[in-house]
Amino acid sequence: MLSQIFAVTRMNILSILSRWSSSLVIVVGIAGVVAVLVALLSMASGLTSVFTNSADPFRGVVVRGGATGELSSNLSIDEASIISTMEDVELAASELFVIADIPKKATNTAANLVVRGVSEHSFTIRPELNVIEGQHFEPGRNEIIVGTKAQEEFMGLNVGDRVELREFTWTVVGTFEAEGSSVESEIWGDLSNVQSAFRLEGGITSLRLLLSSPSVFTDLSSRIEDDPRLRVDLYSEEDWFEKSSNTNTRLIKIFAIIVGIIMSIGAVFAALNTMYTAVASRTFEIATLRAIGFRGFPVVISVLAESLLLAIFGGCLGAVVAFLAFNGFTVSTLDSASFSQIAFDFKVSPTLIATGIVVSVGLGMVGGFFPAIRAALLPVTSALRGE
Amino acid sequence: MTTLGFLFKSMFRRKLLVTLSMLSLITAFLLFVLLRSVAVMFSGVTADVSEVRMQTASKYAMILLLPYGYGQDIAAVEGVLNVTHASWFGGAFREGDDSAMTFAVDPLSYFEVYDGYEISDEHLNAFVELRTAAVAPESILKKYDLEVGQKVPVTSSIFPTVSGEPWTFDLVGTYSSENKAEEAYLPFLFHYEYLKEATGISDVGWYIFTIADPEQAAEIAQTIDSQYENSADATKTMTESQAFRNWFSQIGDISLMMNGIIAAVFFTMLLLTANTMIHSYRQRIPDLAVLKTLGFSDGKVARLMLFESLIFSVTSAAVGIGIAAFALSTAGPFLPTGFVLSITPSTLLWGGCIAIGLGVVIGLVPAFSANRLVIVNALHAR
Repeated sequence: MLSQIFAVTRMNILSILSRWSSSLVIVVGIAGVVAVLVALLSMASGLTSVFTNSADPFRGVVVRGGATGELSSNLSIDEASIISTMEDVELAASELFVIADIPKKATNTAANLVVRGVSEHSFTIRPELNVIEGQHFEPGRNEIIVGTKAQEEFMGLNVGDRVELREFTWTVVGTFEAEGSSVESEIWGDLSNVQSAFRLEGGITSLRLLLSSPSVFTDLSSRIEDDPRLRVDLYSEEDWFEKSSNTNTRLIKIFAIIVGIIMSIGAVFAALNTMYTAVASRTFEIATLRAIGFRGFPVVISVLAESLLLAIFGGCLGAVVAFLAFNGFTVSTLDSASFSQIAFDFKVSPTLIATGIVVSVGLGMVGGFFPAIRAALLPVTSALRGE
Repeated sequence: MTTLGFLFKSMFRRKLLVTLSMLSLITAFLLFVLLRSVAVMFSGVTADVSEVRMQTASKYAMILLLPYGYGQDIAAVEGVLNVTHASWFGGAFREGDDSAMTFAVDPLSYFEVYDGYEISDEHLNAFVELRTAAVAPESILKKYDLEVGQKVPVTSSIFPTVSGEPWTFDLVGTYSSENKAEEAYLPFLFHYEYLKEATGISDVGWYIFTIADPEQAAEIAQTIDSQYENSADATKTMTESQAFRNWFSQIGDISLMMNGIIAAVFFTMLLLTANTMIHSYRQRIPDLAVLKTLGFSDGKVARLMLFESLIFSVTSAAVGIGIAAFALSTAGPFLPTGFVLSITPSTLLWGGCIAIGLGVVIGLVPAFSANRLVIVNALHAR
């Protein structure tokens, strides 16, 4: 039995090359499905990783109670100082989140960009942030540093450039990166300068906290809630990012899945077609095998093997195409939570490639199964007579 | 037998192959229409935007407020007809939801400026008279399961109440728009006066006004913006259509991506189907020889083949587009706020052209070979 399976399958697969043009249909069709699916999912995972990459369990975010984003939050100086002196809070950095209109390179029209006024501790709390070109801004001066993504997507943000942000003209003194997190799409300046430029003296939108240990989080959270002087919410960084990335990534994922399903259906029809044709063109051959004593099962296996082989080949091809075309590809879009531009890279991860190949195996199975059954059930005598 | 009947008979002679090919082509067109409708939405084409309606908002960021007094200044500019204002409330109807379109407005002037909105006198009067009243489009009523006459709790991230409880509005009526495509963009409206009283704010979000002559739009924008140029609250005035284009250009790259994906997906599927069909026709050469033996002319046979492939591709396209239309109209109410997916005439036109083009390409090979067929050889091949 095994030797039969082996012999028929080998014969089948070796003959693929002589039927390459119809086999190509399966390969190309499934490659297309996998490429698009992987590309769309990598877009979703790229957008998610912007928010989750840098999440640190030692860090927390404080915003006004009920605020859905930093944009709709504001804290009083009193609240900030109460929280920063609480037990278990190692460091607290007041930040002001505002939005400026700056022309985007791609469209040459103004788009929203986040300007964050930060204090000294903002940098200590985020050790992943590194100035890679130029230097840090000097507190008290109208100087800004620009995230790499913001620099890439917007005009006139190179080191040495002068930028108008509301009331003041600012000098770009440095570029920073932050392990791909969302702050790379932001401009940072000194808190008090940003406050006066945007006429928000004393304004604070959020407080970043460094906790003494991740385990104090629940306790601190309930102490903040119980304090009658405070009307704020404390989020762990992870929860905060999760909250911010929600809508967009969910939509992209749903979209990817719907497109993937419809494309898969189309590809299955194409694969079925090809395999039926393949079986039909070898009717005589299969009937001959059956006549000289080969059983039906090896025939089924051989047809399935052929379709699987082609499908996996197509799946790998699609994954490679998606990887080459999209991995590291940067796009920017409007983030619905912060109301500003956020840039992110597509991330074609090994998991996504594996997902793509699993899908291709599934498609190959379905596409090969019915034609395989038909091949096995061929009436030998009439097939041999060429009817 | 009629020619058409003959075509169908011969087309479905290889039932399985033609059915499967048709199904994959139908999926291709289905996908094409769905993706196009998403791309069209991102490019902002579906929104009904007016050239005679303009808006003045803060120059620095859309979310900043403008002084209340600007309204009178704008009304005094020559060429300006009606002025109204609106303020973004950021209200959510359910705990934890994203904020829906909720605006604080001045009821009478708002419906004057948006003259394409339809509201019954009874509902409008009820809205004007009650301070805590609100009106909403059917789409919001349906989505959040609300009824006219009920009290609606709304949580706002921008204007939280002192107690932290949701705001409550009396839903006194519904309104709609002349333009049905706009339905999903219509906001939930309530009294600005009520917001002002409860929060103490004295500024508004943005001004909307109509002008007599669209030609004057640039000039009027210039006049208004220059008045406030050096003030703390500088403005940016533009027509509604410019504003929409700006907004959608911010979504930017995503729509570019969408178009790329559409092209990739669609052409892969077309290629596959064309390949399969061309193969299948090649196997029918002996049939053509029979037709020629029976006295069909070269031209007639070629035309038959072409016709057949055209019927094949156009039928598939029509079915695909039909399924897409059904899917879009069913999915409509479940889409997030502000998402409108519709089939535009340009999508239909593209779909039609592609279907015809495909039919011709598939049909050309067999039509061409039918023309040069030597009967004896072809019959022999059988």
